[in-house]
Amino acid sequence: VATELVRTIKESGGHYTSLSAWEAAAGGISGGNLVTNDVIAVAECYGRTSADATTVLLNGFTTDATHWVEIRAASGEEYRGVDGVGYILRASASRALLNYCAHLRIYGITIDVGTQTNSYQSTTPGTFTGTPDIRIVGCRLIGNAAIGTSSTAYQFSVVNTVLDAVDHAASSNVTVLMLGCTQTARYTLRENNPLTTKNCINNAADAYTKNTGATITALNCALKENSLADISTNLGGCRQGQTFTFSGTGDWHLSESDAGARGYGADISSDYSALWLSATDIDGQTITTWSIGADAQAGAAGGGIQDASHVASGGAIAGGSAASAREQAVQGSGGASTGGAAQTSKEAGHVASGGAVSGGAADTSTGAAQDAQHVASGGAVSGGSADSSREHAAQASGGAVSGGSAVTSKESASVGQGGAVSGGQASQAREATATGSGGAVSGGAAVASASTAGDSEDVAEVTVSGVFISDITIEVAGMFWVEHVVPGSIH
Amino acid sequence: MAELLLYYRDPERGYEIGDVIHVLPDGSAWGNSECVDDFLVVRLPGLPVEEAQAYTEPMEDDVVGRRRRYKIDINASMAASGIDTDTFGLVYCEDWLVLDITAPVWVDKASV
Repeated sequence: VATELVRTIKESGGHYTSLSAWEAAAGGISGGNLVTNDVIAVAECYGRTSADATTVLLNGFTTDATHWVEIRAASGEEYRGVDGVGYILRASASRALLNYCAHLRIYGITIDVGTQTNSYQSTTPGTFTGTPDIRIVGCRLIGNAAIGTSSTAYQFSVVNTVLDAVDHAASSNVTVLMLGCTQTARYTLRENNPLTTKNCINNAADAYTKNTGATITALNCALKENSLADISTNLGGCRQGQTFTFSGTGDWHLSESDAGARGYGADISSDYSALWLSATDIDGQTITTWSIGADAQAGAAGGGIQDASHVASGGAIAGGSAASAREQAVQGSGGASTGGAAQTSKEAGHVASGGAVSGGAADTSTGAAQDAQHVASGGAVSGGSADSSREHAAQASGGAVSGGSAVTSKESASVGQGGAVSGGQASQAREATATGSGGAVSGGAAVASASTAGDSEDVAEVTVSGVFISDITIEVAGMFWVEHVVPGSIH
Repeated sequence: MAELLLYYRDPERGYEIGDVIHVLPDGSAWGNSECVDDFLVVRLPGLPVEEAQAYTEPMEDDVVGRRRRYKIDINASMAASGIDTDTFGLVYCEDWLVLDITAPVWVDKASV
């Protein structure tokens, strides 16, 4: 097995800030020849506050069946069937991805190609041996005619993926296999193009458009269209005229009340094995009770989102509850959770970069967020309380906590650069230690902050620079030290 | 204003020195590998990010063709911007010194 050469794509702190830069550096492999270097070039992508907006022209790699280019979400940063979560490639000029690479695998990210054609394979692939092989797993694909034409025979496999587009047109030389996908729109097949689809939802009134010679082989598919006439070969289990109930807008998990796809899938684990995949669904859950669509494990007890780990980068959960989410960990970049409660989530960990949690409470009485760790970079928690969060640790870079209280949080540790804590109190926080550079603490008091008598090390430091502090009361028992006070800086 | 990530290594795979690879707002944190010997970050005062993004336009003129339509002639731009070679020589990954290119010399490869 070839060695993976992993490079991270992050807004900050990674190897590259964009997939484009990673590609320009050939994934860190001089010359881009993966075969002679015996490597798999891996771009490991993280959720962002805004989409990666530079077109990726994937070209100049030499590949074969065991040396491929891989673009994947980092662990815990996957799309997981909730729109807006994780890494998003969306170029402003509707040219997000132009792939000339013959062996490519993409896992767990969102790609929005707009109206661009031929995104995932080119008409003339680059240097390769063997059959070109494109695999897309656990992704969200947005765009019109994204699977394009080719002069070379391609195997194109799409697994556990949400196809969220007006049309996806394939071509005569592209053999498409879809396993456990959720299609939101009509799928168009060009002339003589074969499609094999198993355990897939098609939620379009007109499921397929077939040009001359195109064929569809289907197993256990569920169509909104009240006809199976487009299916050339029905391997069994296909259902027409179905109504699907999803967990919410932009959330493609099957609702517990769904009667169109839930529990109607076939065991296609052998098809997954043929692609070197374990039989897991878009949440990464092992499938034991097969449903149709990307949320194949929805038929299990409890159903719904059991591992909706991340809501990042513009994602929104509004007016509802993720009742059994175990790890609703990250709400990043503009994400919002409003008017609802994560009632039993154990690790509502992060609200990052512009995200907002407002108007709702993470109520411990219903088993709520026990590890709400971070509100970072512009995030806001307002009008609510994280009553028993254990590690409401960091509110950084523009974050705000207002009108609420972190009543029993143990480590409401820091409000960083630009952050504000106002009108509330961290009444039992043990380590409400620092309000950093540029931050403001006003109108509130750290009443009993952790510092029970004899335990002063818990509040050993209050480090302040360049800030204005007003109306503050400091209650101290025992000894304390004040260092580096600049006369006139405290009013 | 915009900072541009320019290709800055031996030409290969269709890339040329000065190709505009990516654009970020002024003052952004670039990646740990987005520095010399592969890339050069420059600031273009007066150029909004939205306009700068257009300079990342790809080219698709053959299997491994020219990868970017636009590049900056780095040497000509340095000279036109009054940046001497000694200053340019101080650009290291450790420092993240971002040079101000006040008079960029653009090359539109579509018209070459």
